[in-house]
Formats: sequence, C-alpha cells, structure tokens
Amino acid sequence: MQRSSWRPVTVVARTTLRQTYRRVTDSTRMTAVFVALPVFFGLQLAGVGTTGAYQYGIRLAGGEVGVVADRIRRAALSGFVLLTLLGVLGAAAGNSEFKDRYVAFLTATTTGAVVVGNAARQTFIWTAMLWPAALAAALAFAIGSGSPVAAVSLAVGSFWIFVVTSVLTIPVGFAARWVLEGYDLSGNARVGLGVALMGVFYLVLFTREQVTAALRPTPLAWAGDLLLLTVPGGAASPARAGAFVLFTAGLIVVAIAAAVRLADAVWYDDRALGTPNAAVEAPADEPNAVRDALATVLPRPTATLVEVTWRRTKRTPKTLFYVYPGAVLGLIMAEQLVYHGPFSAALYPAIVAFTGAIAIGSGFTLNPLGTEGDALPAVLTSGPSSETIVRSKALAVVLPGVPIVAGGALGVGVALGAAPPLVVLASVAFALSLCVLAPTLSLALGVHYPPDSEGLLGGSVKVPNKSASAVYTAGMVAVSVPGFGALAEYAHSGTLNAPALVSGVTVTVCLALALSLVSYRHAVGKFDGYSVE
Amino acid sequence: MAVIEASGLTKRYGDVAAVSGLDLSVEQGRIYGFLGPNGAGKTTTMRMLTGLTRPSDGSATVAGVDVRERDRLGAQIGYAPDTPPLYEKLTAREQLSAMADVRGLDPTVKRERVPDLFDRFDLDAVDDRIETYSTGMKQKTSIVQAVVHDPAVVFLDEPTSGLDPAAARTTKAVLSELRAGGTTVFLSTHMLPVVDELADTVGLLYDGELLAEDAPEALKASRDSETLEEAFLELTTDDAGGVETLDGVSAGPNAPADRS
Repeated sequence: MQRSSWRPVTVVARTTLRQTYRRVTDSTRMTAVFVALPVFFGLQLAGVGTTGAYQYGIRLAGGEVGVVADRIRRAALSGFVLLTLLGVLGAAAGNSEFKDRYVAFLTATTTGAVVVGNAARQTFIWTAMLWPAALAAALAFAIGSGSPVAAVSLAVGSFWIFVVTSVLTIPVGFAARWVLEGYDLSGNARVGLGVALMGVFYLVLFTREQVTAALRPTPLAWAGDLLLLTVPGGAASPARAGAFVLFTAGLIVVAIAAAVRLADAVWYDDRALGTPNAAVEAPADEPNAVRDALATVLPRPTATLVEVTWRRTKRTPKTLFYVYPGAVLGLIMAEQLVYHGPFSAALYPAIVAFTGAIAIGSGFTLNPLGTEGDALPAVLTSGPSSETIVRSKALAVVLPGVPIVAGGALGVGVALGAAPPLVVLASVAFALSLCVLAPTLSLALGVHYPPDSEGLLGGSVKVPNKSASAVYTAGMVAVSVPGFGALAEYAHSGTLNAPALVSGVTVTVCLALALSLVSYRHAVGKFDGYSVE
Repeated sequence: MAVIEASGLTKRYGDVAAVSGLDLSVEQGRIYGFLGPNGAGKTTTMRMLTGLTRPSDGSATVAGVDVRERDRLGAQIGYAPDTPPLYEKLTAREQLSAMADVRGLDPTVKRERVPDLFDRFDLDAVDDRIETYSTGMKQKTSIVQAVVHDPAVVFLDEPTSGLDPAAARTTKAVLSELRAGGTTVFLSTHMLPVVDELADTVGLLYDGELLAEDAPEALKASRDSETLEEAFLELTTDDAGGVETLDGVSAGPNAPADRS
C-alpha cells in the first residue's frame, strides 16, 4: 500500500479515536469504567489478594519451572479463546454498525480505508482497556521471579494476542448484521444471537480446561511459546513463537479482507437503508385471551396494562437489556463458588434466587416512565391511577418472575437433592421475598431516571439508566446478604445450624418486605407528582 | 356552561414564564381554536389543562375536575399531543383496544366503536405496527385514540399536521360531529383556515399571555382583516396593542393603563 493510501486510514482512525476519547472523558462514569476495569483486572492477574503472576514468579524462582511454564501456556491459550469469544459476543450484539456515523468518510474515501481505520480504532481501545492488566501481570511476574527480562515476552506477547483477538472479531459484527438483515430477521433475533453467544462464552469459561486441552495440538497453542520467549527456563521454541506470529498475522489479513467484503455488502445493501421490520401482526385477538384471563383476577385496566407491557416487551427485547447480565451473573457465581469453588451444590438454589431476582427487576421496571416512550402522555391521561400503573408494572414482573425464580430455586434444590428440606424451603422463602422486592425497588429507583433534564416526554428511552441499575443492584445485594450468607454457611460447612439459617433468611425476608412496601409507596407518589417540565 | 375554566394559570420554568396569568372559559360543546406563534405557550397550556404539567400558579378545571387531580381528570378528557402518543411496537388495533380497556370502555361498545372509527378515518393498516406508519397515519390513530371513549373534552395539538387533504377534511368533519354531540374540542393549530372554518372561539396566545379572544369573524372585524391570518399577524407584530376582551376593552403589556 502506498503512503498516500494509508493517509485516509490514519485520518479515520485518528478522528474516530478522538470522538471516542471525548465521549469517554465527557462522562465521569465512562472514565471511571475505563480506569477501574484495567486496575481491577490488573490487581487480580498480578496476584494482589489472590494467586496471580507474582506468586507464579516466586514459584519459578523456586525451581518450579515446568509447572509455571505449563500454567503460562494454558493461560495464553485459554485467554486467546476467551478474548476472541468476548469480542465475538460484543460484535454480534451490534457494536460494529458504523454506517450512520461514518457516511462522511464513506463518501470521501474507500470502504477499505474506513474499515481498516475503524479496525485500528477498535484495536486501540480494546488493548488500551485490557492490555494494562496483562502488563501489570508481566511486571509482577518479573518481580516475583527476580528476572526483569521475563516481563518482555510476557508483555509483548500478550499485547500481540490482544491485537489479534480484536481484529478477528471485526468481521463478525458485519456478518451478524448481514445475516439478520439478509434473512429479514427481527431485533429479537439479534438479541437472541447475543444471548446464545453469551451462553457459549460461559460454557467455554466453565470448561476452559477441556477446551484448552483440545486446542493444544493446534498452532494456537504456540501462543505460549511467544509468551515464554524471555522467561528463564521456559523452554520456549523461537520457531513456534515466530510461526504463531506469522499465523496470526495471516489471520489478521484474512479478517480485514473479510471485514471489507462484508462492509460492502452491509453498508451498501438496500436492506441496510431499509425501514424497520414492517411486521404485520395477526389481528389482535378479540377477545384477548391473556388479558381476559388476567381480568378474571385483576381489574380490567390493570390486566390491560400488564398484558400490553408483556406484549411490548416481547417485541422490544432491548427493554430487558440488563436482565441478561443478571442471568449471566448466576452462571459466574455458580462456576466460581460451587463448580470451581469451596461451596457445595446446596448453594445453587440460593444462587438461582439471588441472581434471578436481580435479573427480573432489571427490565422495564427500572425505567417505568421512559419505556412508555411517546405513549407516556396517553398513559398518564387515560384515567388509571398512579397506583394502578405502578401496580401493573410490578405485576408484569412478579407474575412470570416468581414462578421462574422461586420455582427455579425449588426445582434446582429438589433435583440436586443436595440439601435438607429446611435449606430448600429457606431458599424458596429467600427467593419469594427477593422477587417481591425486585420490581418494587426498581420502580422506586426507576421513576427518578432519566432525570427531567433529559427531555423524557416524547422521547424514546427504552434501556434503563445505568445509574438506576447500579443502585438497584447494590440495594438488592445489601438486602440479600443476611439470607445468602446463612445459606452459604450451610453450603460451606455441610453442617445444618437451623437457628442461624432461619434467622439469617428471616432478616432478609423482613428487610425485603419492608423495603418493598416503602418502595411501592414511593413509586406511586412519584408517579402522582410527575409533571412534564 | 363552561367546561374549561382557567384563572390566572401560570407556568414558570426558572425565571421564565411560559404561560402567565391565563384566564380562559370555554363553553361546553364548542370548538375553541388556540392560536399562537411557536413558543407562545400553547403546548404548555395544553399540558397544564390535561394534568401533565403542574401549574406554578393559578387554577383550572376541566369538566369540573381540578387539573391537579390527574387521575380523575383522565376520565373526562382525550388528548392528542403533537407527537402521537402511541406504542410503536403495537398495531393500531392493539393500541386502541388497549386504551379502550384501560379507560374501562365496555367491551361490546369497544368492539363496535373502534372499527367504526377506523373506517371513518380511513385507517386501513390497522394490523401493521405503528412504527411503520407515516406521520399522517400516526396522527389519525392518535386522534381516534383521543375520541374512542367519547370524552367530555378533547384536546388536540396540531391534529391536521401531516394529514393529506382528504384526511384533514375527515378530521374536520369528525370535530364538527363531536361538537354536535356535545363534546368540547380544544384545538391548537397553526392551520388558520381550519380554525377559521371550525372554531366557535379563537384565543390568541402570545408570549405566554392571551392577547385576544373572540369569535373568528369578530376578531377579523375588529382588526379590519379579511382573513384570520391577517388578524393574527397584526396582533402579533411589534405594533400589537394588547388583549382585547369581548367587550372591546384593551389590556396587556402595551395597552393603556386602565383595564376592565
């Protein structure tokens, strides 16, 4: 490529990076995330408060060369796979849709230049966020081992792995969009794709030992040689390290070429400019079976608001944006605490209850005003009281949520047979109380977001505010601690201390019910006093 | 009998008075045309009268209900704001069905009235999602939603905006029918010919204050204008005098000191 051909690439990369930089630094929260994440992971990887690179460095200096080298090889391989999957997850969820933003570039230079420029931007951000943690680990290892030169290949090798994994995932976003639009699939399908990939990610996470073993015969395993090149006694093969670099460089070229080709297909296809899914629905059931069934036990306006909330949520899965992480949190806790952790399977019901409850309250109730969108004036002026509206939203969560979460906790407890009946019952009580708290607490917080200054009325604010989500999660955690702690105590010791168990769970139940009542009244009051300003 | 009454209705945003000391009285079964340039405070006034915005000062009732009692007010009014208040992921049929049920409309009545309104407004894509609708179709759906429960008062903010001539004519016909049926229509629009044709009374809001209020013909005559547009422009230019009450006495910021 001639020098002049690179200029558009550098301009695109520099400009888009500047935009991202300003967007991040303009937001205290985003800045905090960009700083906190690498610090957090850096401390973990380095070995602060846990077993990490520093401890392995000490073991290397102590003569355990083989063990340490093997550990580094496994970490390199599993890290490569997990990073790639993580990137694929993000890309498939829609992070690669540049079209609207970069029309100015697309009309000024080639598609390839725009793609490569954006690839450079994405790679820079990816490595800037994640590589410092690896660098901290490399330095910690060097300190622990007493061999400064060990840090060199660890740092450089990990940097290369981050670059490769970033670029490899770029065509995935285009491919996902091309498939979704090409087959006229809805936004639900994209969300479903993201959720499925999340499941794959955590499946690989849980089975990383087996995955790593399966990939050992492949060139990907030579990532370990790259990382061990300057580690004393690491027995790294320079030839294999070089081959790994060449192999992955080839992957980068292929990935870029694929991304350019797919960008052409996605950015200039009529479907990319098309209108939203012109979904024609079957004529609304008259009578509406779900609504009528609800109306047998609820006032009709309440039943209607509940049914409409479900219908709309089904068609706008983005409303449940923060629900999925709750489910993922459950998988992480199950893996960390039980599967690879010190607790017995008796903890599973409590994990299901805790994370399930957090999940069900993380949807539309975290943004009760915003999710009404343009229809908010109609809802507020259509007659139902604020209490009816708040109650409807809470019921829309509780009615499906309780069977799923409490039923799930009970089902897991019974199926595993790993806990006495008292523990299972306590888990169910724990679950029920949290399921009542979740929607009411999230409503009480959600009515404050987005703030009036953001022009709510007439807008379309579907995804709950991050601050509301954070405060809500913190509140749920705080209330859950006594009960979860009591259940965890049994799962850890295996000895049933009934008074301690019952008292711990009772504290959570009482806190949850009391806070739920206060939250409900607060939400109603806020709705009552809501004024368009 | 006045179905909308406002006294000293005021809305301040910080130091700025979007609406200041508004006095209104709208008779039942009339069409009240609410005019004013952009930023005059028409939408703010509508929001106060529909309970969406709390007044800073003053009072108002609609169909005997204080506008601060939003829950009770909803049963008496229909409201179609300038941005159609619709759930984009629902179809028109679903939207209307839901709103009718939320309002407690009898299911039998609902099953008759909703399709009838669809026919009258020539809404033929009622099973397509609202997000696919044109602006005009959304407006029509919004108006249908506002009148489905046969309210005492209907508030319409720019109801003919985005409508083709045929749809605009249908809307005007429906408004006339509503009036004939005893419904009061509070209509805010820039379409002066619509107001000229339909309104029983025209209120001209300017800079948050009611500058003039009279029947369209009387207003034109008082300004020696042939069209409402001329009268509107004359009243809202820098040389504008002030508020003209029904008895012809001037008042307002640029008017003589005496005020009746």
